[in-house]
Parts: sequence; structure tokens; C-alpha cells
Amino acid sequence: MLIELATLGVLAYSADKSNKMDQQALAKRSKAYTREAEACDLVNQKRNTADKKMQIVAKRKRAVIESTLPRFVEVYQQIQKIDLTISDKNELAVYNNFRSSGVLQSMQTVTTKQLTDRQLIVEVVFKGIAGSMIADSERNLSAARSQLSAANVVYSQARSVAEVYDAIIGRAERISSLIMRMNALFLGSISETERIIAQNGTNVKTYTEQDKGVLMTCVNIAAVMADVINIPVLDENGELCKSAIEMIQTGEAYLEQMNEIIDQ
Amino acid sequence: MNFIEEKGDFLDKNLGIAQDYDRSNYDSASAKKAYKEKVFGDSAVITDSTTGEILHKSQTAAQKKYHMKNADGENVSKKWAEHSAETDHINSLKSIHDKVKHNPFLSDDDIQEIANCDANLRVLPKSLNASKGEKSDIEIIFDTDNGLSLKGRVHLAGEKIKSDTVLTEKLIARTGENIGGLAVDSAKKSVEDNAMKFVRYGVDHIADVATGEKTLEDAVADVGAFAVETVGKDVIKNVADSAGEKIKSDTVLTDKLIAHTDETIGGLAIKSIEDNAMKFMRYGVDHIVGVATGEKTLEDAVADVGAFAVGTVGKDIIKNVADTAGEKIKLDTVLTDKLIARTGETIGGLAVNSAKKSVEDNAMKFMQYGVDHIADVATGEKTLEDAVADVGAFAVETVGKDVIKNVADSALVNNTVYQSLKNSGALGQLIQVGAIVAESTSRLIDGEITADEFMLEIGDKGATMVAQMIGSEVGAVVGEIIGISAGGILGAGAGEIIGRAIGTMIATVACNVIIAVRTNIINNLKSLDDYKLKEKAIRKLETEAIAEMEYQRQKFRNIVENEYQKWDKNIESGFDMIIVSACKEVYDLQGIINGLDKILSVFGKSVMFKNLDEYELQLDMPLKLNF
Amino acid sequence: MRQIIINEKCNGCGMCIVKCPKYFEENADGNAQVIKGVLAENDTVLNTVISECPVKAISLGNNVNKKQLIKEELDKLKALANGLAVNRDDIAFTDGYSCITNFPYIGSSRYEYRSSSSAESAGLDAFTSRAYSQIDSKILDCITTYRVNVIKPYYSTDERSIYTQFNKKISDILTAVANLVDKDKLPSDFCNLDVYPDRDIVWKMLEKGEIVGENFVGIVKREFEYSASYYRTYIDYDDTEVTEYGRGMFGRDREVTKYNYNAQDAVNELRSDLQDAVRYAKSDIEEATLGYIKGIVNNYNQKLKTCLNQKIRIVESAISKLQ
Repeated sequence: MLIELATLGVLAYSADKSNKMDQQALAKRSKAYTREAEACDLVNQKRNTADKKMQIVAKRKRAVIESTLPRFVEVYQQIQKIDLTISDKNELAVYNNFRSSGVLQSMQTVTTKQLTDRQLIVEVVFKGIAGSMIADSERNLSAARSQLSAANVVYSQARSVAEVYDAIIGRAERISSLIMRMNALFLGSISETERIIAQNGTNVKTYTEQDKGVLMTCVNIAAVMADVINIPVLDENGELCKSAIEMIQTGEAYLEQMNEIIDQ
Repeated sequence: MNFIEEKGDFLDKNLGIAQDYDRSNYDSASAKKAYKEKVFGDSAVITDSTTGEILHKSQTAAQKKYHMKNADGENVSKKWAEHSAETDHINSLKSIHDKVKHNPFLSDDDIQEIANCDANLRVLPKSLNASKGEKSDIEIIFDTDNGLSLKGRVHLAGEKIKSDTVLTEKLIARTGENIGGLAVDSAKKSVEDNAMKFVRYGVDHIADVATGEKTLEDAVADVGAFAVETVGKDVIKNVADSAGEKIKSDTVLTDKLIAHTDETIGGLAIKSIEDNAMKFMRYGVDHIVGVATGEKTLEDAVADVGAFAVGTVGKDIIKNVADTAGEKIKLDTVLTDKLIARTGETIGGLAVNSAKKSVEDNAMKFMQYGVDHIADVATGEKTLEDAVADVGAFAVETVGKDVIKNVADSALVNNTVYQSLKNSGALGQLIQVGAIVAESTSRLIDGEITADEFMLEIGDKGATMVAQMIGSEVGAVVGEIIGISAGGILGAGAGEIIGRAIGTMIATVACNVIIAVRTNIINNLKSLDDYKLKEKAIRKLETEAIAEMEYQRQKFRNIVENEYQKWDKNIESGFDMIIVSACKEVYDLQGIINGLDKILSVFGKSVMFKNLDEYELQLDMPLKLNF
Repeated sequence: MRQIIINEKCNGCGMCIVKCPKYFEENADGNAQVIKGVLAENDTVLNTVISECPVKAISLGNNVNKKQLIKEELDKLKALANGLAVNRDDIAFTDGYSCITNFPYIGSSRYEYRSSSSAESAGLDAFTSRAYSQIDSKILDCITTYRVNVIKPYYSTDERSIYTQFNKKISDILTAVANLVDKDKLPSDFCNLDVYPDRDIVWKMLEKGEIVGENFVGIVKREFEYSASYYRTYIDYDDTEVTEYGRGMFGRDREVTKYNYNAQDAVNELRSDLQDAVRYAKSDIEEATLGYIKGIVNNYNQKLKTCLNQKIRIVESAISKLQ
């Protein structure tokens, strides 16, 4: 009831400074939110691309098993009995591990805890009404700065996750290309073998060294094809995988620490 | 003593304000309506001085004119609210209630009448009123987001000052009237009688406490913290003892204490009523003696009997007994030399003058002791809350909160008293304030004014000062100054004390509060800057995190690069070898095998058949292929 | 010259791509597609590949007139010469973006208040400091997500940029033309199209979030007019009897009534009100955003036109030189 005003002039100045700081705070928050949104965006894009590449690898493998392999069996079983097993492809398991650990922690909004009555009173008593207003804005700006710091760490983690996806994409592309080329080779070899068998009959003992070589090559290529198809895109025990996990986990640990401080 | 009869006078006007805020007690639709009519006069519209917009008297009219709907007929904004006039209190009813609810000299009707006076009403746009909500005008004035023009803000500020001033004057005047009314009721009695009235009023309730029918908190709550705290609790002992009962408490009263008391009472039996006052002082003292000898901590002693009574009176009285017996008692935390010295003087002085004074002088003394005690709490030995814990912290707290608000709100005070304070420098300020009260006291003592008039004057200025003082030092100095001016008549020691009592009676409220706040101020100041620490911590973490993560990324990139280089090299060279071999004139079987091997080496595997012999050997067995 | 056709039987084994990279390339899904503008000549490798395709997905179409094909591509180019159009639907601020998330949970407090009014006040304080004070931030969050997800393509140059995508569309056509025409006759950078709008002040402000960002918070707040105390009615309180040991007179126990608050309803209500406010502001937001973007898009269209007209002229002259 007894709030009295001194000169409006003095307090108006403080009000002005306070206003400017609030603008700054909002600008910083905007930056922070942008950074976080872009971090999510980055990871999403990379994930989509990686998913696609993985699908292409699967497609290639399927194409080999469904088209090329039957041809091989049809041709070669004239020469030798074939004991064929086709196993389930489990390549996506490790990949899915990465996908889930790459989940970005949602950045907490760093807040300014509004002062309890008592604190506010103390402030007003010691700093006067004008001072109290400035302190409020200072706190707001500080919170906004902290939020930007948090967003920067989030973005950094996003970059790490993106790196892992890039590695996955690179590997998927290579395996896809290898399967393609091996398959072309395989098909060619099957044709050659077909020709040789048509020419020489099914008794291998009557073949020339060269012709035997053609047969052997076809089988070797088939075996290589089998090996290649069984390559996982990501090798859990490989150095790449381990390094990726370490990298992601380091980032997550920092994000957790950041959240703890913000939460206090 | 005829307590009950006197009680009737006191209660004539139904003084005392309902503690729980109930808006219906204080709001007045008729006053607001009349005010709105006055403002609009004959016109249907006016221009609002705060926002500069047109305001319509009738809400319907505003809605019709400014309603904003979107294409679907939904309300998408409420612009009409900016043009519809409502009547509102400048100082909200709740804030006024908060401020004065512990003033035992006002009634709910007083509040209603004063809070709805024209100076506290205004007409403003509905939207501003709604968005204002519980925000004080100060918040509105300094809120940069609400689009108010500077002119509008100045207008709001001016209205607030006017309302504050008028309300203060009215409330104080009414308080004074009511006090004066009391004084008139007992016109033939002295000022002290009035003080005694509160005592007796409190006593009735406290008697209930002694018999166990009410808790002390409730009793306190009923009467008003101030009166009971300072006077009533002491008198508990009075009533209890003079009724001849021994008060039993489970832990505190020791046989020694009782025995001592008996002796004491016996010894004083032939003295005047003032000695009875001395008696309960000693009563408390003996209890504290037990403390001093180490049988109990002071806190427990205080807790069990009623902190305030013992804490304020007893400890002081220790000194009395101690000194007169020639002992020096040491207490662990509370007593300071100052207090001891003061007490010694006091009692000595009073003993000399007690013949001529009434019990009520002692009442004043208790108050002063109480204040002294609290002042020493401020040195940090004990928190105020602990000291009064058992008798209801809320009494002090609520009184305190009122004044905290005052203190907080009055960063700069625009009032003639304070202005002259500001202009004359610190010491000069204090002296001036002290001088004002001292003046009234001197005139009373000199017989220039009657007790009624004195009460009116003190009530007037006292309430004002209570509201505007910002430091117990002021209260203390006030007391000393009063003492100085009164000393000549009453004798140096006594004069000073009594003067102090008056000054501190007025300042007691402020003192309690400031001290209570002060003990928390250090902690609060620290937490104010917590946000800076947090920002530092986060910044540090950010730098470290980003650096480490970049380092890890680089490590990872290197590994990836290595792997892919190995892959690309071997795969390419493998295929090259195969193609070259296949294209040769003579089918280069070995070349092809080498090429396949090279490719497989990337995954740590090797070709199935390294030469024709191996191949031919297994032709009779099934070929195992695992896709 | 005959067209090469790949039908839907293609299973992506990639043999044709490996053996005949002159004609075949990989598409986005990993299947084979014919390189734009390439026509089948009499080619043994191609014939082998066609016959060896394990699913027989490749065939040859009819003879075609090169000039005709080039003309068709040219028409496509001309159709795109006016550039991009952007309207409200393209940048719709859908309900997904007005979704307010992550308000803190303020449930019930402990039973520690002496009166219902002090419990209620404490609840309102908690609500104000932890939820109400977040309003600006929450609004900003929505607007920023909208900007980065929906508007960013209009102020970026990466693969998601609409300019990049539009450029690619045109570039594909140009590649087809280049394949049809003799490559020597065309400038070496003919297939490239690297047009982007100028990075003017509006672009920079969009990047920084200064527009379609903080400046929109005010737009939403115009639709949100509730002060914190308005939510007082949503603060619940409850009471219970608590025993205070030894705190009564003479050290006895006493029973006191203590109160607590529950502010969750208030938080939920605030969230719902805020969401409504954001939704009400939808058309204002879209209008304003469209205003900003149109300038940039127009700039792009202008530059595109110049570049494209040049290319069109080249194609027309190439056509005229063809027999």
C-alpha cells in the first residue's frame, strides 16, 4: 500500500535497460531452439538416408538369392550335389542398436526460477525497486545463455550421431556395390559354366584343365558370394562399432550432466 | 479485579479485523457503481487516461462495437474488452486487508468504508483489469510488454500515490479515533490503564490457556499478537500466581524453582502490587537459574513455559536476582552486557520509583525488555523463530510480514517526515524522528496534554512511523531520545527506560520484523546470485563437452577412413586381378583365385578351393554352401 | 535408335549397371534405370545384358526420333522457366506445430501449510514460477520448430533446399538433352545449374531466427491474455490432520490441520490455453511468413529465368543443327 515512487526518471532508465536485456534473452533463446531443431533435423535426415541404404543392401542380397542362386543351382547341380542353406539375415540388429542410442535427449528449457517472496523482498530492500527489475532481466538473460550452451552440446551430439550414420551409409554403399559386382561376375561365370557343361557333358574327369578351372572358378565365386552376403553392415566386435559406441556414449554422458545442472 | 466489567467497554465497537480475507466483507458494489456514475456523468463514453482508448460505460455497447470474430464466427480476439469500463480498486482490497488485519483498533466496517473511498477507486478498461489480475500497479507500470504508453504509466503512478496517501491518512485517523475512543471510554484513567485494558483482555483468554481450554496460539490469535505478546503472557503468571495455583509443567519447573519462588513470594508479601510484578519476574529467573547451572538448555526452558514470557522477562530478571544477590549468571547465547547493564539500571531505577508508579509502568518495562531481547537475537545468536516457536511463530511472522511489505515497498518514501529525514543526513534523520515522538511524550509528562490526546498523537505518528521506519536502530534511538528529554523529570535511568519503552512500543513491530528478516538476508543474498554460478557451471561444461566430443569424432573419423581405404584398395585390386586374368588369352585360373582371395581378405576369409586338386578331391561329396 | 525400357520386374541385382554403365545407372531405390537421354545403339554388350537379366526386365522399345525427344525435353524446360511458386499451403502451420510440450509436472505438495489460503498461494507461486514463466519459451519453441522444419528449405542451399531440388529437376532434363545431342557441341558446364537466391538480410534474419522467431512471440501473445493469477481457481487444496509431537502446551502433543496444494490442473489448463492461442495465431503467422519468403523466391525465379533462357537458346540452336 505504501509503494511510493521517487522520480519517474530514474526508474524509467532502469526499466529501459531491463527491456533491452529481455530482448537479448529472447534472441538467445531463439538461437538455442533453432540449434536444437536443427540438431534433430540433421539426425533425422541422416537416419532416413541410412535406412534407405540399408534397404538397398537387403534388396541386393535378396536379388542374388532369388535370381542368381537358383540359376547356379540349376546349372551346377549337373556336376555336383549341392547342400544349400539359406539363413535369416540378422544384419539389422546392430543397426537398430545404433538407431536407439542416437536418440537425442530433449533439451530442457533452462528456466529462471522466479524468486520466492522473501528473496524478492530482500532484493527490493537492498537494491531498490529499479535494481530488482534489472536483476530479473539479468537472470533471464543468464538462463537464456545457459540454454544456448545446452543447445550447443546437443548439436554437437547430433553431429556425432550423424557421423555414425555417415559411416553406416558409407559401408552400406560399399557392400551394395560389392554385391552388385560380385553378382555380375557370378552371372557371367554361371553362363560360362553352362556353356562348358553343354559342350563337355557332366563327367568332369573328361574335362581339360582349363575347363575344370572354369567349374572351380564358378564354385569359388559362389562361395565368395555366400561370404559376401553374410557380411554384416556393422560388425559389433569391430573397431568401428566400438569407437562409434564410445563416441555416442561420451556425448550422452555430457548431456546427462548438463541436464542435472539445469535441473537444480 | 473486575476484568469482566471492563471488557464490555472495550468491545463496544467490535474492533478487530477478521483474519481470513473474505472479499465480501470489504467490497462495495454500491460504492463502485456510484463512482462509475460520477466519472461518466451523462456521457456514454470517456477517454481512458491510462491507455488513451475510448471507454464505454456499457459492456454490451463495447461488445457490439468492437467484437472481433473470424470467418467461422469464432471469437478470435477480445478487442471489445479494451473499450469496456470497469470500476476497480487502486490498492486492492486484499492488500489493504493484509496490511491492517493485525491492527486491533480497526474493524471490518472501517476497512470497507475506507477501501471504497473515491481516492482508491478508478475506472479502467476491462482488458487491463483482467490482465492486471493480482499484479500490483508497480508491476504494470514497469512491465514493458503490455503496450502501455509512457503517459499512461505516469498516470497510473500518480493515481497510486494519491490513493496511498489518502488511504494511509484515513486508516491512521480511524485508528487514532478508535484508540481515542477507547481512551475516552475510560476518560478518567491514565494512558497506562489503556495498556492495562489490553492486558486484561488478553488475560481473560490467557486464563483459559492456563486451565488448558485453549492453546496459547489460539488465544494469541484471538486477541491480536501484539497485545498479548508483549503484555498478556507476562500476566499469565500474574493471574496464575495470584490465584494461588502452582503451575505445573512437566520438565521445566524444578523444585528448586518452586521453592525459590515460594521464598520470594513470601519475602515480598508485604510489598505493593508492583512487587507482584517483580515476583513473576523472579519466578522466571529461578527457572533460568536452573538453566544457568546446566540442568537444562535455555531453549527447552523457554519452550516449555512459553518462550516469550520467560525469554523476555525471565532472562532479564535473572540479572535482577543475580545482581541483588551479588551473583553473576552467565547465559550461553542471549544475554549481552548491554542487556545486563540496562537491566541493572532499570530495576534499580524502578525500585526507587516504584512506589509512585502503577503496575502499568512495569507493563511498559516488559515490552521494552522484550524488544531488547529481540534486538539481541539480531546479533545472530538465535533466530527469532526459535525464540518464539512455542507461542506461535505466526504472531511475529504475520506482524512481521506486514512490515516486511512496508519496508520493501518503501524503497523511497514520499512523505514529509521522510523527506526531511532524507535531507538531513542519517543521524539527523533519526534524531528528527525521535524528536517527534519525544515531543509528545514530554508534553504528556509535563501535563500539557491529556492521556487521550497523547494516545491520539502517538497513535497518529506512531502508526505512520511504524509503517515507514526501516531499522530497529531508529526505534532504539527514538527511545534514547525520549529518555533524554524525559530523563530530567524522572531521573536519568528510569527516564531513559520509560522513554525507550514508548519508543519501542511503537517500533516493536518494525523491530521484530526487521530482525526476523535480517537473519535470513545473508542466506537470501547468496541465493540471489545462484543463477550466476549455474551459468558458469553450464558454460564450463559446454566447453569441455564440445571439445571432448570433437576429439572423439576425429578419432572415429580416422578409424572410418582407415577401414574404408583398406576396403577400397583391396576390393578394387581384387576385381582388377580377376578381370585381367579373365581377359587373358589363356584363362589365368591362378590370377582369378588370387583376385578372389584379395577380396575375401577384407573380411578375414579366403577362397574355397585354392587349386584344382582340392576341388577335384571333393567332387564326390555334396557342396556345402551357406547363403 | 531405340529406347531402352526397364519394367517393374527389376529386382535391383545391378548386373546391368555393372556391365553396361554407359546405359544404366542406379536410382534412389537401388533399382536400375536408363540414363536419361541415352538411346540404344547396336551394342553386343547391351544385347548380352538384356538376355542375361535374371528377371528379364529389360527390353527395347520403338525407334525414336532424336529431334522429337529433344523437343520434348525443351518443352519441359520451358514449362519450368517461370520458376517456383509458393503459396499458403506450402508453408502451412499445421496443428502438429502448435503442440505445446514438456510443461513440468507440478502435482501435489506436502501437507505443510497452515491454511487453505496459504496453500493456495503457495500453489499459485509454484505454478507461476515453474509453468507460467515458461510461456514465451514454449511459444518460441513451437515457432522455431516450424521454421526449421517447414521454412528452412526456403533459406538453405543443402540437399533439402527447394532451390537445390528445383535445380536438380532442371539439371536432369539438361543431362538428358546433353545425352541426346552430341556432347561436343555443348559447353562443358551445360548440365550444371547452380542458381540460388541472394543471401540478403531477410535470409540472414531467418537463419538467426530473428524473423519467424522471436518476433512472432508477440503475435501469439496477442491471443493469450490470461495473467498467472487467473489460474488461481485451478489450484486445488486438500487438508489432513497432522500430529505435532510435544508442540502443545506443557509439552503435550497436539493435532493440527495442515493443507497442501495441487497445481496440476492449472498447468494442464495453461497448456491448453497456450495451444489455443498458438492455433488462433496460425493465419497471422502464415501470412507474415509468406511475406518474407516470397521475396527470396522471387529473387531466385529471376536469376533462374536468366540462366534458363540461356540454356534454352543453346538447345534450340542445337536442334536446328541436327539433321
